[in-house]
Amino acid sequence: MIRLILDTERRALFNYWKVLGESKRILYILIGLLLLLIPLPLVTTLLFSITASLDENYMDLYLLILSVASGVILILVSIHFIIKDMILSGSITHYMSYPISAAELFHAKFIKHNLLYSTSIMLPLSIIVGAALAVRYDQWLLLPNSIVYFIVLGLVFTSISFGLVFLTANILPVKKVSEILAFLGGMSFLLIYVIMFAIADSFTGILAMFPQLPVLYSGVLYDYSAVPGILGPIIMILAAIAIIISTRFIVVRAIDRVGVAEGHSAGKRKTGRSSISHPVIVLVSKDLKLSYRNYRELAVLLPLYVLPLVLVYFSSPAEAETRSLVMGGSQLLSAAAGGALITALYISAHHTARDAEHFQMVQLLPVQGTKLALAKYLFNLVATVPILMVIFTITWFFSTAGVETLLFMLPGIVLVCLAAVPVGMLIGSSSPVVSRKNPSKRLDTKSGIIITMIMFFVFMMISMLPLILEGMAVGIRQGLIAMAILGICAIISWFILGSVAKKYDSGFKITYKD
Amino acid sequence: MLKVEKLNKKYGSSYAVRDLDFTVGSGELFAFIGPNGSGKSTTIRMLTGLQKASSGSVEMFGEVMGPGKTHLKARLSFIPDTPDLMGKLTGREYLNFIASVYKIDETVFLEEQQKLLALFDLEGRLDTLIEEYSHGMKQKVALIGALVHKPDILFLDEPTVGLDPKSNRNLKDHLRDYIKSGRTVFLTTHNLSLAEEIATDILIIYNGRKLAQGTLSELREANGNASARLEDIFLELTEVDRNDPSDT
Repeated sequence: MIRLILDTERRALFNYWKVLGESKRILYILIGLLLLLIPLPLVTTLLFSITASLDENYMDLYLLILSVASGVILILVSIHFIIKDMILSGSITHYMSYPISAAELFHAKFIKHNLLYSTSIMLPLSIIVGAALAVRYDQWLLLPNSIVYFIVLGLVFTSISFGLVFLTANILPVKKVSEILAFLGGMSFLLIYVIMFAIADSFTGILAMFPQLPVLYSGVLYDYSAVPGILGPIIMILAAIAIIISTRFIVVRAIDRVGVAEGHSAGKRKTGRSSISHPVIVLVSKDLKLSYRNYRELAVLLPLYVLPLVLVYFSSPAEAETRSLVMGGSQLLSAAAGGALITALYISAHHTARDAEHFQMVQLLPVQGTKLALAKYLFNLVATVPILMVIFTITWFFSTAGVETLLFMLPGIVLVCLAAVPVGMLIGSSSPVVSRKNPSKRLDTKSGIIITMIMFFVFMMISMLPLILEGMAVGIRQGLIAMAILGICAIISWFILGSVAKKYDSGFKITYKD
Repeated sequence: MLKVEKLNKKYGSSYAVRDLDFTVGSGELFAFIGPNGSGKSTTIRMLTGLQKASSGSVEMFGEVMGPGKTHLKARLSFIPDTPDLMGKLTGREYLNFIASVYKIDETVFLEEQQKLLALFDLEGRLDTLIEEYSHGMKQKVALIGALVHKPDILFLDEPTVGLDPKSNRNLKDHLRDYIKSGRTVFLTTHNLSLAEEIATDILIIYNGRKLAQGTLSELREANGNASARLEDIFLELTEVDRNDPSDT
C-alpha cells in the first residue's frame, strides 16, 4: 500500500511537470542549470576547503553548527511542504476515504518528504563533508560515517517537522492548524535572523564556552577510531527509529482526529448583534475581520510591518559598544518615509488583490466601484498608518532625534501612506492571483517584480540619503517643503483611485492557480 | 421583467451560448435546465451582469443589464452552485454585511432575518465562523442572504444541494409564496422533479441553444404525451439533438 501511495505521488509530480506551460518549464530548467553551474560548485568548494583545512579544535563546533543550521532550514522547509501537501491540499481526507490506514499514509508521506526535502540536501552535504574529512585524516571510513550521520539527521529533522505539524493538529482546532502553523512559520523565519544576529554578536563567547562541552564528533566523523566509529552510527540509527515511531504515534492520532473532526463546528463565538451600518463602514469592517482572523494572512504581512525597523537598523550608524540608536533626525525621517512607502504599497496591493477570492460576490453587490475603492482605501489606511506611527514613535524614543523630527515624521507617515496606498491598490487590482494551495499568494509575478524594484529603489535612496544630506542644513523650511511635496503626491494619488474603481466595475483580471 | 434577445457568448471559435431568446415575467418561477456544459452558468453570469455577452442583449426591468449596473443589482440576488461566502465572517456578520450593502431598514431586516432563520432551522447558530459550517449550513446562510432583502428577481443555481429534507420542503413552499407576491425566481437545477413540481415556465438548453420552452403542459403537448414526466421530455429532446447531424 505504501508503494502504491508513493507511486500515485510520483505520478502526480510528473503530471504537474507535464501540465506546466512551456515558458515555465524552460524557466525552471534555466534556474536549475544556474544553480548547478554557479552556487553548487561554489558551496561544494567552500565546504570542502573549510572542512579540510579547519583548525581541529573547532571541528566539533563546525560540525555542530553545520548540523544545527541544516536542521533549522530543513525543518522550516519540511513544515512548509507538509502543510501544503497534507493539510491544504486535503490529501489526508482523500487517502483516508480508501482502505488505507493512517500509519501507511504516514509512512508513504514520510518517505516522500524525506527524499524530496531532506535527503536531497543531506546526501550531497554528507558526501562533501565526508570526502573532505576522509582525505584530511586519510581514513576512508569517515565517508560512510558522514553519510550515515547526515542522512539519519535528515530523517530526524523530517520526523520533527511531521511531529510539530501534527502535534499542533492534536491540540488546535483542525481548520486553524495550517493558518497557525503558517503564522508560526512566518515568525520563525524572522526568528532565524534574530538568532543569527545574536550568535554573530556573541560568537567569541560561544567559542570560549565550547571547550567545556563534552566531545561530540571525535572518533565518529573525524579522527576515526573503531569503537565510537561503529557505535556512534548504530546509536544514531536506533535513536532515529525511536523518534520516527514516536512521530508516527502523533501523526496517526492526528490523522484519525482530522478524519473525525473535519466539518464539525469548532465552537461558537460570542453572540453578536444583528445590525445595519453604512455600506462603506461595513466593507471596511469586513476587511478588518478577514485580516485579523486569518493567521496565514498575518504571517505574510507581519514581516512587512517589521521591514521599516530593518530600514532603521541599516540607516543608523553601528554603535556596538553603547548599543543605543545613534540616529539623527534626517535619517529617522528618511527611514520613516521609505518604510511607510514600502509597507503601504505592499499591504494595500495585497489587500486589494485579496478581493479576487470573492470577486463574484463583490461584483454582485449593489455597490459602485467608487465606493468599493473608497472602502478599500480607508481600510488600507487603517491597516498601515496607526501601526507605522507607533513603530516610528517607539524608534524616535530610542533615537537622538529632536521633537521637531517627531512633529514632521508623524504627518509625513500619513502623507506617504495617502500617496502610496492608491498606487498599491492599482498594482493589486491589476492582475491578482487566487491560489487554493497557497491562499496567501495574492500578487502575480509582474506585480511582485514592480514592488521589489520599488523596494530596491527605496533601500538605495535611504542608504544614500545620509551622504546626500551631509553638510546640508536641514531645517523647518526644508521640512515644510518636503511635506508640501508629499501632500501634492497624496492629492495626485487620490485620482488613481478612479482607475481602481473602474477595475472593480469592469472586473479584475484574475489568474486562478492550482 | 427579464428579456433576453439573440444572446451569444463565444470563447475563441466555439459558442457557449448561441442565439438565446426568452422572456421571464413577474410572478414566474422560470426553470432553466440543461445537461452539464450546456451553457446554463454562462447564461446566468450574463443575466446577472457578471459577464459581458459577445452579442445580443439582456434587459432587466426595462434596462440593459451589464457590469456596473448597481441599481439593477440591488433588485436581484444570485446564489451560485457553490456559494461564495467569506469563511472568516460569522453567519451573523455575513447577514449584517448583506443587509448593510443592500441598505435594508434595520427593523425590516431583523424581522425578515428571524423569519428566514426559523424557515431554515438556523436559529441560534449564526455566531460561528462560516468556514466551520457544513455545506448545507453554508447553503442556508447563502439562501437567507439572498432572500433577506426581498429581491425582485432571484437567481438560484442548484439551491437544494446539501439541504436537509425539511429545509428543502420549506424552500419550495417559500419560493411558491415568493412568486405569488409578484417576484420572479430563475432556477437552474438538475433535479428535474423539483422543476416539474414548482416551475411555471421551463426552458431546456443544450449546447448553448434553446431546445424548447413552455409550461409543463405545453412541453407535454409538444412531446405528444400528456402524461410524460419532465425527465422523459428532457432526455428525449437532448438525445434527439445529440443525434441531429445538422447540429454543430
